[in-house]
Amino acid sequence: MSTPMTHLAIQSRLVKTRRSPPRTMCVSCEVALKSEPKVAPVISAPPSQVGEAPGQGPEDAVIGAKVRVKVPVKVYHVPRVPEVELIGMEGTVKQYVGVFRGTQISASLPFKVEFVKEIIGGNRSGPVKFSVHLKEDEFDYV
Amino acid sequence: MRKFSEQYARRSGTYFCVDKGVTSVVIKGLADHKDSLGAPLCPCRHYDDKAAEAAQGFWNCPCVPMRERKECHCMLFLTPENDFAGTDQSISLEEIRESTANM
Repeated sequence: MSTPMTHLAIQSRLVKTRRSPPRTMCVSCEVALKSEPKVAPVISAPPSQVGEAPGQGPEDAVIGAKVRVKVPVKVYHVPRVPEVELIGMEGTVKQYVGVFRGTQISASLPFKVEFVKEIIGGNRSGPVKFSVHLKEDEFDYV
Repeated sequence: MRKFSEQYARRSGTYFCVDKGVTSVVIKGLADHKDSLGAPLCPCRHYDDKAAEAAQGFWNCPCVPMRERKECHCMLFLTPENDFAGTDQSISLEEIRESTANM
C-alpha cells in the first residue's frame, strides 16, 4: 500500500507538471504597424474642416508642415523686434490648438507656426525664434 | 482686473475706449470669469465649454490675438489709430461701479 501523499507533495508535483501556457503565434504586418509620418500632403490642399471628431482633426495632417504666409499680418510680440510683417515668411506648423484634451476649442487662430528671423545690426544680432498663431486662410503649404 | 487692465494698456501702448462704460463692462466680465473659472476668460465671446477654454488659455486675457496682433475685439485695449481709442490708460473703481451697477 502506497503512502498517502502529503498536501505539500501534491502541490510540488502539480507545480512540476504544470505546463506553461501554450505560446501563441502572432502574425503581424510591419508595414501596417508603422505609423504614418506627420507631414503635409504634397498637394497644397487645405486641412479638413474643424469639427471632426477630437483627435482626428487637421492637426494629424499638418504638424511639421512648412508653410508660407500669404496675407499681410503684423505681430508685436517678437523679442527684440517691436513689429514684424509676416507676409512671405516661411515657418513650420508646431501645434494645432483647436482641440484641447479631446475638446474643441474656439480658437480663431488655431495653427501655431514657428518662424526664425535674422536680426541684423545692433548689439544682439542673430536669429530669433518666435511662434505666431495663424488661421487656415492666412498661409499656404510649401 | 482693473489694475491688470491699466498695467497692460501702458505696457502695450494701447488706450481705453472713449466710452468708459465699454471698458467697465469688459473689466467686470473678466473679473467674473476669474472668480468663477480661475482665469480671466474673454467675456465677449461664446463658448461651448468655458472650463476647457480657460484651461487651454487662447482666450484668457490678454488673449492670443491681443498679445500677438494687438487686436482686442472687446474694445478694452485700443491702438491709438483706432477711431474709438481715448487718451486714458487708467480707470477708477468708481467709474467701473457706476457703469456696472445694473449688471
